[in-house]
Amino acid sequence: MSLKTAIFIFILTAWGTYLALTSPRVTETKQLATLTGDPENGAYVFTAAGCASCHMDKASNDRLSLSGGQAFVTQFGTFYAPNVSMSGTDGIGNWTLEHFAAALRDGINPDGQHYFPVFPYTDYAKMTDQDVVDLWAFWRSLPAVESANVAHEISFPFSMRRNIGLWKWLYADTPYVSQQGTRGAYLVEALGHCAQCHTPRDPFGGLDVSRWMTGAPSADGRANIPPIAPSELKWSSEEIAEYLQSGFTPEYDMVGGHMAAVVENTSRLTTADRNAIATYLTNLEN
Amino acid sequence: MKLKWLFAPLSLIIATTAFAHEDVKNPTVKARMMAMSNIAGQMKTLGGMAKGAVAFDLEQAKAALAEIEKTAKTVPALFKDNETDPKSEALPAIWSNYADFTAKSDAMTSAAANALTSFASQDDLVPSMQALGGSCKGCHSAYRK
Repeated sequence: MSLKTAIFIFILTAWGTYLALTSPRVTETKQLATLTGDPENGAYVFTAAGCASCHMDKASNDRLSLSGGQAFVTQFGTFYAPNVSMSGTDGIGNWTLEHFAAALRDGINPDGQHYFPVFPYTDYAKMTDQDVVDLWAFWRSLPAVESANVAHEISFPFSMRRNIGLWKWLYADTPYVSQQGTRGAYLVEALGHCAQCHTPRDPFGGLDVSRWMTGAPSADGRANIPPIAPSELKWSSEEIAEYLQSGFTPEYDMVGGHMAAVVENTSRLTTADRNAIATYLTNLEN
Repeated sequence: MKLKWLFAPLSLIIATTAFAHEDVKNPTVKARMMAMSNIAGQMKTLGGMAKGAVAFDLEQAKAALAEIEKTAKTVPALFKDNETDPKSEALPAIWSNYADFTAKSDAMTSAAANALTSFASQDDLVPSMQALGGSCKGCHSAYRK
């Protein structure tokens, strides 16, 4: 074999490996059609998953008006939350349940492309089939809001959606970090996606699981998001639960900034669920 | 003077030590923080009663509410000048949206005043704290880091 042939075969193999690794993979969704959606539970999942916090039109002050537009400044570029209202032209009004599930849990859009992981689908991947179906049943009742999407501002090579396949190969399909099987773990690791802010990242933007919930710089690098693991947060689980309900810290300071939007959601959960989140946090081992 | 009337201003001292603002250099910023710490200290008094950690005392509760109302009234003036400090958590939006900031501050003043006029028993504690907490959060979510 000549050197040229060897190089040619090498390039082909490398390219083939790249394509295989980065190809969009969707979890099986056929079984979803057998489930009946409960929009009331869907509304609750909507709150626990914090969909409105990123996707609502802030100016409207209406958490059900999901026309997007909020900017998320990161080291990879500035991303704008898309319109996920029931508008057929500007939102997801034409989607099926399968499209919705693939977006939420696999980070794949209806054209079969990867979503940028600003959308925390690596966490939503842990959502149960029933919760996805219920959430979609609720979603169908939301208003259609006409408002065109704003294009993300990302520089090459981060703008290449295909490359996200490599990122997913590294960081998606991760098991539960702690207390798998408990309600608290489901609320924190699947729905609440708390780690996305509260856990530091490596240079590729993947979560550093070894430093789980120990705080991190904010995505735009300008603020510090505090640790909530017991190694550094010394609040009792009652104090954490109180904070999630009222926003009051044990010293009666009041939540501010982006966390205020989180407390808008957690204040609407059941007391048992807030307690479960608090218990999960205080039980984290370090 | 009844000792219990000392309690509200005394908690100012306790509250400010709890929030440790020694590193703050700018006097205007420090004054802002002290006002907020004072409000927190009064809320802590009410919170202690609400949780049953301390016995409910109607006069002390009303004194705390009165101190919150009095302090809340000073907030717009305290934040009028765009003074900064490395330790400040005030967002620039305060001065670009000063009218809205003032409105949100007035919401706290009103919440405290309303709570005070109808406050009669322990049952009024939690609703008062919820109303006040809502006014805190409403401002902090927009104007604090």
